[in-house]
Order: sequence, then C-alpha cells, then structure tokens
Amino acid sequence: MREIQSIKEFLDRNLITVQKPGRYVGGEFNQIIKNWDSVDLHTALAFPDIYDIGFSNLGISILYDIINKRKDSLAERVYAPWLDMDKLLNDNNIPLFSLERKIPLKYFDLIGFSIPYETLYTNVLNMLYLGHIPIWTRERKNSDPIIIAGGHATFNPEPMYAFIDAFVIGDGEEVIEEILDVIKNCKLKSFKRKEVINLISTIEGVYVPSHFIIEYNQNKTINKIFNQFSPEKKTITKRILKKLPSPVVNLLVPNIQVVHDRISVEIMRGCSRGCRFCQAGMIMRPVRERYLDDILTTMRNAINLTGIGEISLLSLSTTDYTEIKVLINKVMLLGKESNINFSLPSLRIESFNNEVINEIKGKRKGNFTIAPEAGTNKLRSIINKPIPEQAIFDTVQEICNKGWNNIKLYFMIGFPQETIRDIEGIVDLCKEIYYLGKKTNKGRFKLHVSINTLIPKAHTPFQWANFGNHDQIKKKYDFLILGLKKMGIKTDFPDYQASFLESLLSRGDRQLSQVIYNAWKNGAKFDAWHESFNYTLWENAFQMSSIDPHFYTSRSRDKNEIFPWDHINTGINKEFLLMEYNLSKNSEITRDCRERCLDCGIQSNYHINCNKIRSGLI
Amino acid sequence: MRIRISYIKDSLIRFTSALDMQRIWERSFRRASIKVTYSKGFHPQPRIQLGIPLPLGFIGLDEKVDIWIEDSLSLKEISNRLERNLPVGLEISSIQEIDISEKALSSQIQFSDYRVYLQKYNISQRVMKNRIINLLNKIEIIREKRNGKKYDLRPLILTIEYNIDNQDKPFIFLRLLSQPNKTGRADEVMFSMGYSITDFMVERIGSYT
Repeated sequence: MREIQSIKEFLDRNLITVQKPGRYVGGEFNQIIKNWDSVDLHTALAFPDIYDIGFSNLGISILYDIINKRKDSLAERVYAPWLDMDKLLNDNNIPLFSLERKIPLKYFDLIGFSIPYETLYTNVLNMLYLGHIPIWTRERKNSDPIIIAGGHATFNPEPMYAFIDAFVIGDGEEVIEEILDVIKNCKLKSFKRKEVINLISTIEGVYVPSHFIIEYNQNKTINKIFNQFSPEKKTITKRILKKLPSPVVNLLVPNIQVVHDRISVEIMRGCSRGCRFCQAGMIMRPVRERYLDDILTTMRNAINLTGIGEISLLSLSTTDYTEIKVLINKVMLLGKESNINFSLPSLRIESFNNEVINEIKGKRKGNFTIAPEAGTNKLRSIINKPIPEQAIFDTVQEICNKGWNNIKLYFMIGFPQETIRDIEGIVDLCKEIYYLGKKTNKGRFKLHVSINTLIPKAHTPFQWANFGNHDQIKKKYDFLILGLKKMGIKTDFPDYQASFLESLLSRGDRQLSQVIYNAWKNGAKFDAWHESFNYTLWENAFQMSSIDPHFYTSRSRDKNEIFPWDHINTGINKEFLLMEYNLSKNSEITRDCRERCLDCGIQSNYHINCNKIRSGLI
Repeated sequence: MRIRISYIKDSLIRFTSALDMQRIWERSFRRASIKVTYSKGFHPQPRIQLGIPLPLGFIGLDEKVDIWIEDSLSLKEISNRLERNLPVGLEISSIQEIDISEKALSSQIQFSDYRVYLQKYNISQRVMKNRIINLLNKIEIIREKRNGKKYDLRPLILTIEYNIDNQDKPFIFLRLLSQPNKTGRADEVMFSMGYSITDFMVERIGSYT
C-alpha cells in the first residue's frame, strides 16, 4: 500500500488549507492502532457526517471497542470530509482514508456505516465514491469491501437497498461478532463476494436486500414482498440484547472541539412510554436498564481513562430510570468531589418532581429543556404524550423558583388531526410560560421555542399519517412566528423542504435508490446542513426518474397497505401500531406499558418478560 | 504549587488549536490523577495558563504551559504520571516549579525564533536568498489581519536569514516579536515573500524573554 505514504505527504502539505484540519488526522488519546498484517480482518467504521458530529456516536464507540478487542480484527474510523476537504481529495485524486493509519477505504474487508438519520444518505454514496469503491452493490467486485449499514434510519432500509450489501437491524453488539466470524471464515477459504453475502444473510437480524423481491401494484404501492432464496424466511427480525453489557470506558478523547464533547453513559436502552410519533421509542423496545452500580463504576472508570470532565447520562427518557433519584444523588456527589459537570438530557416533565429538580440544580444553570410537543391537552392525548397543561406550569414555576432563567421548549407541528386551535395553543402556552418566568425571576427570563415538523416514521403508529403539505405547514409557521416573535420569544423553525426530504426518505421504497443516486450526481451532499442543502438538486433527481415525491409524503395510506419496510420485524406487531393509530383518532391515551402489558408483540415475539428484561433479570 | 512544563508539540497534534490545548492539558492531568487547582466562583475553571499561542499547523519544539496543582508531588512523579497520559505528538521536555506570584508567561515573552522549511519542490537556494534580501530591503510590509485591519509586518521581524540544519536541510531562520499586539507571524512573513501556505512548514524553536 504505497498510497499510504503519499496520502501522508499530501496531508502534511495540504491539510493546513482546510478548516479544522484536526478532523482528518486521528491520534486521539485511547485511539487503537494495530498492525495491519497481524490481523485477519480489517473493518472501517464509517459515519456519514463530519467528525465533529460523528465523533461521539455511541454505536461507533461500542463497535470500535468490540472489534478491536478481538485478536483477529482491527477497526479504524472514517467520517465524511467537509466540503472543503471533499474538494481537496477529489481534485487531487486522493482516496478517502481511515483516520488511524490513513489506509484507503478500498483495502478494508468490511465497511460499516452507522446511519442514524435519512438525510445522510447522499453522504454515504459520496464516501464510497471518495473511497474509490463502486457505489452500486451490483457493480462491486470480489476485491471490494463488503458494505454494511446499521442505525435507526436502516429500520426502513429500502431507499438505500441498491448501495448497501447487508443491513444490520437492531442492537449491534452481538451481531457484529457473528458477521466478523463469517467473513473471516470466508476469507480463509477465498470465497467469492456473493458467497460471503449469502452466508451473512443467514445471520439473525441481517437483511440482504438482493435476496428479497418486491412486486408492485399498478398504483405503485407494494403487492408482495418475498424472499427469493428462502421463501419461509419472510421477515428479518431485529436483534436485541437481552442484557446490556457494561458500557465502553476507554472512550476516545478528541484533540479538537466536537459537538458532544463529553462522556456519554447509556443508562438504559428503549422506552415504554409509547409516544405515537417517536420511532426510537418503538424500535428500541424492550426497555433495558443498567444497574446503578454498573453506571457509577462506568462513570468513575471513564473519567479516569479519558480525563473528560463532562458526563451525560444517555437514554430516551432519563427520568424513567427506576432508581433515578439515587442515581442523580450519587452523580451530583461525584461531580462535587471531582469538578465534573453533568447533563441529563431527555427529562420528562411528568416524571420528575421537586426532589429531582433540587438535585440537578448544580453550580451551572444552563438551559432547562421541556418538550410538551403539542399545544393542547387534546393533541397531547392524540400523540400519546399526555402531559396536563397544569403540570407544565407547575414544573416551570418550580424550576424558575430554583433559579433557572433560561427555558427551552420543544414543539412539533403537523400532527394528524391538528387544528388551528392546537397551534394557538402553542402560542398561548408559550405566553403563559413567558409571563410566569418573567414574574418569578423579576424580568430576568429567557424563553427559546424550537418548532419542528412531524416526520411520520416507519414502524410508528403514525406511519399511516400524511406529512403536512407545504401550504398547511407554512400557514402554521407564519401563525407561530407572528404570535411568538412579537412577544420577544426566540423561536426557530426547520426549513420546509428539508423536512419534506426527510419525510419522503423515511417512508421511501426501492424506487428511491435511483433518486438518491441522481441527487448525489447532481451534487447533493450534507443534506442535513442548511448551508449545503439544496432542494432543487432533489427536485431534478425526481424528475430524472419520473417519480412524484408526494407519493411518499402527502399520500393517504390505506390501513391494508403493504409498506416497503413490512418485512423488517421490530418485534412490535403491525396490528398494534394500527390500533394505536386508531386510538389516536379518538384522542385516547395508552398508558406506559410498565403498568400493564399492551401486547405490542415484543414479549411474544421474543419469548421474553419485559419486566424482567427491564431490570436486568433474564 | 505552580509548575511550568516545557514540551514539544509535534506531528498530528499540531492541528489542535491553541484554544483546544487548554482542554488537552486539563484532561491529561485528570487522567494522570494529578489534581489541578480550580478557580473559585460559579464557573470554576482549571488554572492552566498557556504561553504564546502556537498557530495551527506549526510544530512547537519548546512550548510552555503553567499549571497550578493541588497535590505537592515531586517533579519527577508529575512527569512520570503525565508522560503516559498525553496524546500522540505531545512530549514533555522538562518540568520546573515556579513561584506562585510570577507574571504570566505571555506577558514576559519578547520574541520567538522559527525555522521554516520549504517543501522539496521549492528548495532553490538562490531563490530563497533573493527573496530574503528583497524582503529585508522593504521599508514597510503592509499585511492584513483576519479582522481586516492593516498593519506593518516589517518592524516585527528582528532577524531573517538563510540557514542549513545539522542534516544539511536548508531552512529560513526567523526571529519575530512576540508581544501583546506586536506579534509577527512566521507564515505571514513567508506569504510576503511570495510563498503560499502549502509551500512550507514552520517550527517554533522557542520563545524568549
């Protein structure tokens, strides 16, 4: 690999010309460098956004640790180069390389992409291209790496079916080992690419799209999905870990500023609340909590091994952790002892009380974030996040009393059955909170309202719902802007076209592979960044394929429609999701399933007891 | 106690900005289990004082940082513990204890010395020497700061000469002022000689009082 030397020389001379060159050099503390020739398998862990964003990705840290612990394997990392670096590599025909050893991607046996959201798709294509790897699965040769992908977005893998050899659905900790075992075996026996992929497809939770055939109806909806090689294997069942392993402690420590520059300790996986819009809440079931001692030991070890003085407790709903009070207490104690700062994202209003507020009131009073999501009690019932208005006011009152004077509120618009009353509700709610804060803190109070547009996601009760059309959504934005801005409340809104794109990719089918390719060819990349997102490129891409994007967004879906992702089994039955959707139409709420099993399918499909799994008793 | 570390900043970590170095030191000390002193008040900050900032991409052969620590450890012990806990590219040359009340490093420094190596394709002794002479003959060298302000680089250059290192590699030696509001940048000198950013690599040899 003579290229490595020339890559290094090139970087030595040219890196100084790009912004934040530290993104491309590696060398972080706890980085693992293994001898290339002394291991059988070489994996590149790829994140399709810039280093600053991808650095703290939990999935990548876990896999990096697992793979590098194996004697027969090494894992190196690669992130999407920012536009300036992208141009530099392209102009000079320098292949995209791994951070650790500057090895061109094409020399790895396996490239694993972590894809948390859909707007990264064009970056995946771009990274393959920059890595001098054929973009289309069908064009890859025996010598090319096997391309796999996992992460939340891949729960609807279909839009990317033509570019990814195999998708991994669900928890990656165990399945990665099985994949590596298979590839190693194949490599020793010099198996052909096709044989390797066939063998990988036999692993539970691995989806090889080329094995499935999709038949369409005249109206372009799906008639039938079937497995052409093993007809009895109709679905791919998501992998779950029955018990979470101890978290990684020797995390990489960045040498430059990154977005989430802290130790993230995952205290639990999954959520039992059942908010009807929330994909993570559905696809990550069952809930698994880590033991308190395990968390505390992890934190201490991670602090010692990384030296990082900021810790964040990670979960979908931190306050639902059974022993949250004890945990926060201990965490605060640890913080005082050793000058460590803690952040607790994903707190839910209805589940925290004065005691908890007292505890999180540390020396640093930053933002306090509350996510009512909707403006009225009724709509909050429809989306199954039933927080009574009074409870929101009480919480605001309490946190203001405790001295916070910065509150951030999250809302979404575009929910099914949303009326203008619900939008007014957002303005009214914000006004009341604003007055309350101003009054309590004698004028020293700031409110920041962040509005998002609902993206109906696959595998959620709202997968049948329409994405709001342009005029409806714009009207709602305008109403909110008028109502909030004149109050002096800081507000931010998403770009409609960006939400539209995310929406169509989220519930897309195989037809979109060509569109994604067209868009990338047209120059689309970093679609999640407003400075580079350009919807015109996508518009052209759709025209080139004669596809109407609205088919994926504003079309009403019949309750019997076969969805492109129906063969991906998350453990939750489609009937349950439909029942939830129907309940939402009557504003009926569904309780947290900790109290009573709702028979979503997880227990019966995996033959498990959720309560036991939750507390770590299998 | 207050210690002053002299260190080399080399290889990949030269792409870590001076601002980020603060955090690098804080974390290295925490990994080494050496308690750094924190400022009092609502936002306690570790007491770490960097010397003259080293521009991004420059190699530093004798950089300095002052750190206040709680524990009273032998300098040898500090050095041993730290060594194992530094990221690639940072290397401690020496540690000394200094008086708590001593003035900040950055306010004591008068000038810094640099070696600038040109990329292979650009080494022509004759061209280098000519450009140096041309530069020296200028009465003023007007350059622009990032904020758009114009300034004269010429009085900030104390020495500029052609030289050869002990491996027979030619370089340009620079001695530039390093005082508050009167700091000459080695890359700016090179630009004003007609070289571009990819033509050269800068090493700061040291900064002096």
